[in-house]
Amino acid sequence: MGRISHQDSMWRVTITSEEERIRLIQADENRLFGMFFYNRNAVLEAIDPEASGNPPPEPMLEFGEVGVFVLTRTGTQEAEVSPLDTSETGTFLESNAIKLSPPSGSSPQLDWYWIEWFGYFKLYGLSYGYHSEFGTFYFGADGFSESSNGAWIYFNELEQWVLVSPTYGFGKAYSPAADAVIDLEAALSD
Amino acid sequence: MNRIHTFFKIILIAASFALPHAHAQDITGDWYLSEFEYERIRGGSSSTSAELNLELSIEALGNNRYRVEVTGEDGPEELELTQQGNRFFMEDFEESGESGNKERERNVQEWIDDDIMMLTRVTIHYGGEFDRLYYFQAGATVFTRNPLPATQPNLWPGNYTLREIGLEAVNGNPSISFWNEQISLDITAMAGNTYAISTPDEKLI
Repeated sequence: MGRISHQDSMWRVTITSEEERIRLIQADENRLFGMFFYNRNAVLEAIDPEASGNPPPEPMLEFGEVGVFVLTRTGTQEAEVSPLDTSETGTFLESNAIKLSPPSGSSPQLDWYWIEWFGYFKLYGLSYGYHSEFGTFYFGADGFSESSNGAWIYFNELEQWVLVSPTYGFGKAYSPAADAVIDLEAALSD
Repeated sequence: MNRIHTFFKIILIAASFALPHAHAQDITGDWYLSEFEYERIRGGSSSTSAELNLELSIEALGNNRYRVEVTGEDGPEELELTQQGNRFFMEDFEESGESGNKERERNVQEWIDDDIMMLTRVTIHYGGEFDRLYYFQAGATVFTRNPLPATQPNLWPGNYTLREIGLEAVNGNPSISFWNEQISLDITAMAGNTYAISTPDEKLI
């Protein structure tokens, strides 16, 4: 539960105990836009400042985030996601998400992965028994094809299709070209 | 931070999405911008935020070049842009030679429909033994084809789908990561010019 109030010519939203700066503006009768910022400072403890002569602890930025969101009233046309370029090889997600199941016959406590498309692909994992998200990975892709044992993804920069599946571990994929499991995050960040 | 310099960085990124594409939106023409800018400097004493409302026009020149003109500002600016597959972002990295200080910038932009797009960007400075974060400058922008209407919060209550893009920077690990999510939320009116917002805390399975 949060609260929206009007202060200093700005609509601010307070979420739980942490305050964010949010500007909320009206796009039309069915859509609101929000722009938000959140910063958190950290204090670094100097090591025995009196003995060492180190300067006193100094506040440092620990975390900062910024974003834009759109609220679309339910029952009206919802915000459309950016379409994929279907001129590239492969088939694409018809809906926004697929679930990648663990290998058949395995324990239900094994992790599940989801792939979603929101302009980027987002791969994230859920521990089935706890419904907790254990990892998130964003990537761009140039081809996509759903498979019974995972999802085939084509990356121009890797010049190959790879298979993403819980079988290979989070952030990893099977490369038929190398006949090996590769670290997808590392490969794409090179 | 130079406001105009920052502003043209926004335009640079926004225009990068007008490149030939099977479903490309057309970025050329007139736009209204509404921006919220935030800056935080080491020590925490120099945080600022500012609202900015501007009008601009974008003209395609061909060969990935665009001319951007801002109403009320100096002459038009010509930009050369690139696209990286389906990734709609730009990331810059600079490292100064003597001090070892580093600067990283990242932008993410997303179209809502032909008439609206939104953009978020972050610039961070960091350095030292532990790559401490000491400067954070960010902007969030909405581009619209028509002027935004007057605010009528009494019309806001209802159920909405939230769609969000954002960037974050973490001290000691100064990467800038991107997220995008959709959830449902409710806005209800309360007493005293205040509204409540609630979201269900649900997982997907």
